[in-house]
Amino acid sequence: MMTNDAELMLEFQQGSREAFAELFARYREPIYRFFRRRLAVAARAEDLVQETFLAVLRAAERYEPRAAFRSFLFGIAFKLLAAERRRARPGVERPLEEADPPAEAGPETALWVRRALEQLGPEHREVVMLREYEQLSYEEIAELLRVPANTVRSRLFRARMALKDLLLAERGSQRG
Amino acid sequence: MNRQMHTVEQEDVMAYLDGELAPEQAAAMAGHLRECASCAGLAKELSDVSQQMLAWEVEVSPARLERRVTEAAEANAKRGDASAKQKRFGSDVRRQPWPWQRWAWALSAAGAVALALWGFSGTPLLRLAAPEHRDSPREMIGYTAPASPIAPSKDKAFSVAEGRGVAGALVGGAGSGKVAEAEGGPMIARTTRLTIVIRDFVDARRRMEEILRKYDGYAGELTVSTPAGGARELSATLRIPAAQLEAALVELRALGRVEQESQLAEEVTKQYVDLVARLNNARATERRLLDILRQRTGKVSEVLEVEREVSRVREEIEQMDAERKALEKRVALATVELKLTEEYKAQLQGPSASVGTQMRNAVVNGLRSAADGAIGIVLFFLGYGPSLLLWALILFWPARVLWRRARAAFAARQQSIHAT
Repeated sequence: MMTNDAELMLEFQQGSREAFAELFARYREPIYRFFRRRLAVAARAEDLVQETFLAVLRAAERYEPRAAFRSFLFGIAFKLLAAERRRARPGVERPLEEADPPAEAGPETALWVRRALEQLGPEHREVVMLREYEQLSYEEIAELLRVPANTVRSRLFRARMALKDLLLAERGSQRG
Repeated sequence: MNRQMHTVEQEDVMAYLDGELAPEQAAAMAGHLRECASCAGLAKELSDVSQQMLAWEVEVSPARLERRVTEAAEANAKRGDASAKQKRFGSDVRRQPWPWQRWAWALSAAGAVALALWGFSGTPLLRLAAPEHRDSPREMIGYTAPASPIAPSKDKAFSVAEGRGVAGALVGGAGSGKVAEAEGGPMIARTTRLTIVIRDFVDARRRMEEILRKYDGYAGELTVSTPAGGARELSATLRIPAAQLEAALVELRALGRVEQESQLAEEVTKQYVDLVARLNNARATERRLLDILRQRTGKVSEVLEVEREVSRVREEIEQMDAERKALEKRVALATVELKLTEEYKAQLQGPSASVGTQMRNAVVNGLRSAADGAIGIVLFFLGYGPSLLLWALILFWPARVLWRRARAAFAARQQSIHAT
């Protein structure tokens, strides 16, 4: 899929609209979910998805085939997320209180996970979410967060260890 | 030992589960997990966490998202077409500065250069315009109307004979000191300057000489200049009896086109009268000295002294007499400073010669002003350079500090964004 992405990007750089449409189709959901899990308001997630792909359009010239398109794409999304967080500092990082509950998942399963995640520190939360939901590799996470890969590893481990207990606690309280 | 190994390996277990281990390591880990119960337990815990996390599902993106992105893409493409045109010209879209910024720079630079040249070469331009005026031949002393009430007319003209008569009368009145007014009015010496442009040089000259003969005048001084390929010119100082002056002038003017005319009437009556009076005194003195010589025969030294005095007085008398005569002549004969310039040749040769000369002059002057301009710019920088340098040095260190701080702040902010 990587090479395909790169090829598509090259095609897009040469002006192929179909290539862009294909890339959009492939990454639409991952990007949407990326934003949806991290922002309180669903509508903002939509906006930011649009902005992300628009930014990809504009930055097409800067893209080098050597770099993985996924990293490129998530890099853009991450920057937009940071900008969004800066814009509305309080409240955005609390996906719980103001969040629209996801329609599909049952509120129980979702809530305890989200609560547990909330109790992690922001750095730990981000690595574990990127790993579990976006399924980025350690390298990709390291590149995105601008930290060494070893840091990613240790953070991830500590995050998961913490989560293990947190999830247990939240689940218990949920049931209880 | 086991714990130590576990500490190191715990992260590796996680890495193994995440598929981040190299193939050999992964194989080794797989083997280890089959044997080590605690590690296997850890692996199970980690998987459990992952699975629980995945319970948090998110709905699919709304359908309208595709339309929104497509529309945005189209809008961007329209804008992109404009920049794509620039791309075709070989310049990257990002390198926008070329079109308008470069032009702005180029124009301002050209403007500055032009301004400097014009400013520094301003004086040569003025000097170029001046020559025509500098070349204008003579100052106009003043055009006194010939019909001045006291101007000598034919009747009242002071002829040489009359002048002599008056002078004689004055002299005759020996020692009386009587200064009589000149008979027939004041004595006026007239000078006329006349510049005429003529067509036929030879003919004009001939006619001028005819006029002179006719009016009993003569040419006191005459110069003819014949520049190669240029207009011939005749300068002459004519002396014409004052009585005939007007008539002669009329005919002279008819020689060609009068370019310039000026008249000067100098009243010399007082001068003359003074001179004559002095002359009389001197003569009287001479007579007395001569009487002294005749009557008293005294010492030799005294006699010699008297004789010396006599000769000195005689000398003075001669001098004054000559002056008197000249003055009389000036009054009697009016002066006409005539200049005849050939016109025809000038027209023929003028344009080509002057155009060529003009162009050559323009080139020379242009180079000169360019050189002046360049020197001016250099001087400017030499003059202001030190001050500019001083300010640059003063401001360099603070500017650098501020710049570094700004960059550090920016980098720190970038770090904090990505570190979340």
